[in-house]
Amino acid sequence: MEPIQGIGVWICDCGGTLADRLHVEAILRALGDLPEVAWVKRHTALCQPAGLEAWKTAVGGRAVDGVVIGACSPALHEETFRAASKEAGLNPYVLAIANIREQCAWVHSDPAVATEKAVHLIRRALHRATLQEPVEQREIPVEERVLVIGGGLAGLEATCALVQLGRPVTLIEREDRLGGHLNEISYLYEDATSPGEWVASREQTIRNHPDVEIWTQTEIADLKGHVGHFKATLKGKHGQRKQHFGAIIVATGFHVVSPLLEWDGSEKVTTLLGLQRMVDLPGRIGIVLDGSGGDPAVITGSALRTAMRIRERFGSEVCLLCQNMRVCTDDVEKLYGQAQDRGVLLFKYEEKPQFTVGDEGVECTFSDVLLRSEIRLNVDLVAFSEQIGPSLGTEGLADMLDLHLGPKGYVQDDEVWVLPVRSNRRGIFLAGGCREPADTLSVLMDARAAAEQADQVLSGGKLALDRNKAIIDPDKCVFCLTCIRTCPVGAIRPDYTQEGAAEIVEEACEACGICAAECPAKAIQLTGFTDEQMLAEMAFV
Amino acid sequence: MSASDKRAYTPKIVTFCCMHSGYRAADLAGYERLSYPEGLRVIRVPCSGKVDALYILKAFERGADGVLILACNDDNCQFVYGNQRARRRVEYVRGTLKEIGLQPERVEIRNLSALDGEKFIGYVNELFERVETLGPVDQDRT
Repeated sequence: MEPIQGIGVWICDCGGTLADRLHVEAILRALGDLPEVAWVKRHTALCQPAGLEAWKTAVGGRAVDGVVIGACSPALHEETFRAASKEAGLNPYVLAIANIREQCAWVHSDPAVATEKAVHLIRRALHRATLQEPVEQREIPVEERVLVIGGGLAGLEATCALVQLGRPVTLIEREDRLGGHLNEISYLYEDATSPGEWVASREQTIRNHPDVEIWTQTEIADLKGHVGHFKATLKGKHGQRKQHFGAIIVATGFHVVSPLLEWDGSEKVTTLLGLQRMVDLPGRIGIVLDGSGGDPAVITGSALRTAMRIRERFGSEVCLLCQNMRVCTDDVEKLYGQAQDRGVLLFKYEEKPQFTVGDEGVECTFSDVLLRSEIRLNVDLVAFSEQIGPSLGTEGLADMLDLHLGPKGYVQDDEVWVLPVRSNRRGIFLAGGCREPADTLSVLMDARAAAEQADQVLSGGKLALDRNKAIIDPDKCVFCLTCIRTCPVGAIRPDYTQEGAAEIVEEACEACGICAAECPAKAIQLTGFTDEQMLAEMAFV
Repeated sequence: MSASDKRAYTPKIVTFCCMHSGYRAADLAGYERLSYPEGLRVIRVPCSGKVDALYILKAFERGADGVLILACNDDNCQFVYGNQRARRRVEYVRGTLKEIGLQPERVEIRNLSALDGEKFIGYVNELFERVETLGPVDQDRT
């Protein structure tokens, strides 16, 4: 590394608002004499266009090696300043921010205390900046093609969206025809078209498209590689083939479990899906939401919509029995009100109702906790809600793709940081029911979002790699595989050339630093957060 | 320790804050103009799983009286299980501290979200109170 010429220091007083809580002039004086400081400047709004212009003029021409900014939290403007640095021709990563607003001016009422702490934080940042290695800026070419796994609602929609974005797609489906669950239901709630028409229209768009390959009865058998250059082995009735992809969208959907029916075979008992398929319905219908499996809101929504539709279409009397009404998804709460307005009778039970199936119909007896009385209902037909679980084979797929499974066995936790469509691996996106049970509209939105993100990752045919990342020193690596085991994003692979060492795939690394902390040989450092830099941060005055 | 020493003792705490939760919560505490003792040093890490056992021990060596690790809530770590790894390391470091005769409760790990400004203050004050009772770290031991 070249010797550091000096660091430029900016102090921003946030439109003058920090001036009453901090002695800015004192800070400037305290820093001016430090040997590592090239100059100290003050600005009132560095994040504004004028500030950024002043910034570029001051740091332009590589007059300094790096910059330290005493300003607001790095969570706010770190990226803004990095971009400005880059434009001025400086390595954007030789930059450290001291948070003198949120951590000094705003939390300490005594300006003397806040000032002293601000100087300390800025010195700490200076130390960190001098220890920063410039991050090399480079780009790698990526594969154009996207692999979509699953040809149901989500997979078809994602494929269409990708085609619209001008991206070549390979769609694989393990069944012999496209459509997934759409082949089992008789109407789409949010759409006037029938599921069959919907599938046909999507198929028409993609079937003869020159950029789309569709393989039915095909599954993924192996996956190697990382974002931009996944190498997949596809296996199916057309044989086995290897293909390269830039990104992957998993759209394997969910699995519908039919409720176990004691009265299997009876015409008086059916399932919710069975009820939707019926073309002629008797006068009184009972729908039972079986809360034992923790009905997701999508089932509740489906039951409410079915109930309303039956009332509209056949004029039947519909009683909906539920333990708990889960309405925590788009519009289901509204549906609940609408269903009541349209005369759907809602009952709430605590203990599982008793059903007696006779020739005339079904008698349901239960105790309603709101009416506080025993209810006996006679209906001509009773339908039990299905239960929804992860698609069969999800576990194996997750294992192959190195995806993290949530507690319920879907390919994503209820994970706020990666919601809605990102997975723990860069370049692999999740759409629809494979990540959580979802209704048609959410699945479609998911699919479009996943397509857009996949397209974005590969945009321009290049992947920029100018970020902080973990770096392995192969001389120190003892090849214990700890990092490979602990990397949450599957970015580390064994490199068997020479004596064997772990190798970090730069484009897949998310710079979390877990490997660096776990490595027993201290062979891994995370740029921007190296051990040296972290220790510098810990110095007390 | 004499009474006069006790009065002069202002504890220092290092808190390693995950930039996705703890650090933002600390920022939020600032936005809300909540205040915390001046002896707190916030260190930003990309994930609580980045906090090496060594860093915690080094913090004590550099004069900290307590170390607080602020991680994302369970099942909400951006890096899947970084928060769980941090928790395991805290357990490990507590064992080490015990061996060298330092109170293991000087190290604490807490989970919070980016919106938990008040919780941040709560956890910080909790540890400050604790180390105040425990007294300063006997530097001969570090």
